[in-house]
Amino acid sequence: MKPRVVITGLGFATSIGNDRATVLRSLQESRSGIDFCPDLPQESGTCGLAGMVADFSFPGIRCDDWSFPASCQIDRNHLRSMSPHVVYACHAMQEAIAQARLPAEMVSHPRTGAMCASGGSMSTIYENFQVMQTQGVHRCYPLALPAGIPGTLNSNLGAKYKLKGAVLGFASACASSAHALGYAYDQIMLERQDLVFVVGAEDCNRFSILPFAGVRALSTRNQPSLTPSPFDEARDGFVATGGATTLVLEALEHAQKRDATILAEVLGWGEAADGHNVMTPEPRGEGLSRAMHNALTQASLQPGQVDYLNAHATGTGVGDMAEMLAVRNVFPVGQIPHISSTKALTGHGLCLAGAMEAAFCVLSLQEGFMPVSAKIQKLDPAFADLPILTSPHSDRPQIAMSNSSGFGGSNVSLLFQRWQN
Amino acid sequence: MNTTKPFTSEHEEKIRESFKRHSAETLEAIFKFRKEGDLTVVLTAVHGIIERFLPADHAGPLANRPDSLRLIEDLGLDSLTMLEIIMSIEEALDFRIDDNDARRIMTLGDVRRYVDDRVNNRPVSLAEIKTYTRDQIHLLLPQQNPFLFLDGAEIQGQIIRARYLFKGDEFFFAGHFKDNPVVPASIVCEALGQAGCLWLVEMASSHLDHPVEIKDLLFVGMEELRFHQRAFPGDQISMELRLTRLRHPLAVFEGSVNVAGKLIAKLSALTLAFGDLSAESSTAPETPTPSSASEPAAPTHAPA
Repeated sequence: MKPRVVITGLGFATSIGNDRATVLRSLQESRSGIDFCPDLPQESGTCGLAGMVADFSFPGIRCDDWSFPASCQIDRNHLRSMSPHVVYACHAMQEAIAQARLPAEMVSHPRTGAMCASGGSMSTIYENFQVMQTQGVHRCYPLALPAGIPGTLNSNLGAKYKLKGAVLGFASACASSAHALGYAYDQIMLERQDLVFVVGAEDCNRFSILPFAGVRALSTRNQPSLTPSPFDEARDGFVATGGATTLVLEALEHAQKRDATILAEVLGWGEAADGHNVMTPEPRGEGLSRAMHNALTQASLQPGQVDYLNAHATGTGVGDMAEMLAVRNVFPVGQIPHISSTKALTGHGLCLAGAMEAAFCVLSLQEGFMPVSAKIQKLDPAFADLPILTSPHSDRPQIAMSNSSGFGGSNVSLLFQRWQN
Repeated sequence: MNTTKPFTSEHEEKIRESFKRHSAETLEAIFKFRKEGDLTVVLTAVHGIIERFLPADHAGPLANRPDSLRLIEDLGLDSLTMLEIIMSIEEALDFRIDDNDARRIMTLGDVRRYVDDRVNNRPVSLAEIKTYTRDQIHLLLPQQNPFLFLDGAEIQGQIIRARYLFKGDEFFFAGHFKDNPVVPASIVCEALGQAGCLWLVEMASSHLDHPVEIKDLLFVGMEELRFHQRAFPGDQISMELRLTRLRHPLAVFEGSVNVAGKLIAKLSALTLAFGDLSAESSTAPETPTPSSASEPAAPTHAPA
């Protein structure tokens, strides 16, 4: 019999909450985590906003200057090789491990892996290169490399949690942690692992955010209550966020044997690339259509069975448009799921987005609600025919889909089902 | 060396930032050295830098702790923390520590001596590490198969580290004990003695005022030997001996034995005798009579 894959733990360090209860309330009550970011220039014409993660502070490169909740349980020997987003991830790991009730020997086990995604730490790389260039190579901090490189997340989590299974990182830009979840699912379906942590994380500072201003992708409205506003007529770009989310994916049999609480089931996933442009999506969302189609095929679902779509929709003009064209292409008229973008509340988590929004889908299925697509003052008329959730809906979703798209036209679509005991 | 480089307010600011988590006393010592070239505060600065990195269970002032304290084994520092300490010392005292030198800094005494040499512009007096394979040891020691219990060794100054893997096919396991092979304590003592012999063969001459030809190596005694755990076939013992006294014809070492990082035995004194012991056996070794002095140099001098 083919294995089934379920989710047994979630952990959050996000702009809308650092624990399950706070995140749930933020999603249900449309509480936005967008605020002015002290590390960004506050001037007109540029983005001064970010999805701010509370209770963490990283003033400077030295780990001794950082503050974070004691719940992260990081000693200095581990902390010194970390960058900010890895610290967020430790918090999310602790919460996920606690919720899944995983004993230490199950975390550190040859059949337990971790599929991780982050963009590395631009600020760590920058600060250390600065030292190398101005003070010489011998003054370079010895742990600058494991702290900065893409892969810092999996390297550090592997060391801290003594992980022994498949531990690796994904780098498909904003689709990274969705890819991580997809490949975690595959690892369990192939019976290579019983349990896989899926971790998405990003720094939240000028070095992780401002490069997107160069692409003119960031919203410059600088009004936290109005922006970012996916699907809104006046949307003018995204607002970035950092933080971390961890999901515990587990083989159903393994979870049942240890009497774990099952939160939701992963039904399948699909991926496809646009083959189009390094940055902009294919205008008709052709690659994303195929990703969604592939996900539905793997899950043996008809399009009409999907109740809720957590869209990638970041709030850029072309991005939201391409995704909605893809949705129309995949779902026949009358069978289009309710759609919202939680990025209006959280900001765009980049490599974190896929895992964070997958976890939101799990909460949605578990608690029987669909998050509203917030901050829509006037829905873009181009989307008038679509069931975009501008206000709460009473339907309790059974099946949810989460989309992610990254640079280079890398698309992932994930499918989850409500777990019935 | 330090006074030639001007110490600007920019330097001061940088040092203040880099060492803000060190004690005020440490910072003051660094400034005193950098600004005034005061060499008397260097140890205070260096102790302060290391103290800041000590794990909680080894925390405390270092000024009165002995030279023999090992940084990794006794103070609980790991290699990456050692690197942080090295970089901090470099920044505080404004000199580069060569990687080869850094590798040879093992004890608190090494740090103290090394820094003292550097700030006084003396050549570095850290001991080189010499390594020995089993084949080399075979050629150097009188002990041979099946009674050579050293697979490899490393000599650094007055310290020898040696190891031996009990493969399980050694002749004594058949009888020690019946159906229950355990490494005999006496064999562990023998291995320690052989490590001491290797140190003497290689190092005694360079540590004595007069070169001594080593014809004989004799076991004299052991003091305060305590076994804490047993070793079994498949275990590799790691021995460390440190010379505590050397005066021809006697050498005294203190030592310990570990298996996989766990202490299995410790002794306060292993005494070996060395030299041409047959020539001296007719008389007390400490007071040779004129008749036994066969060296040509002695009789030409007027008797005392």
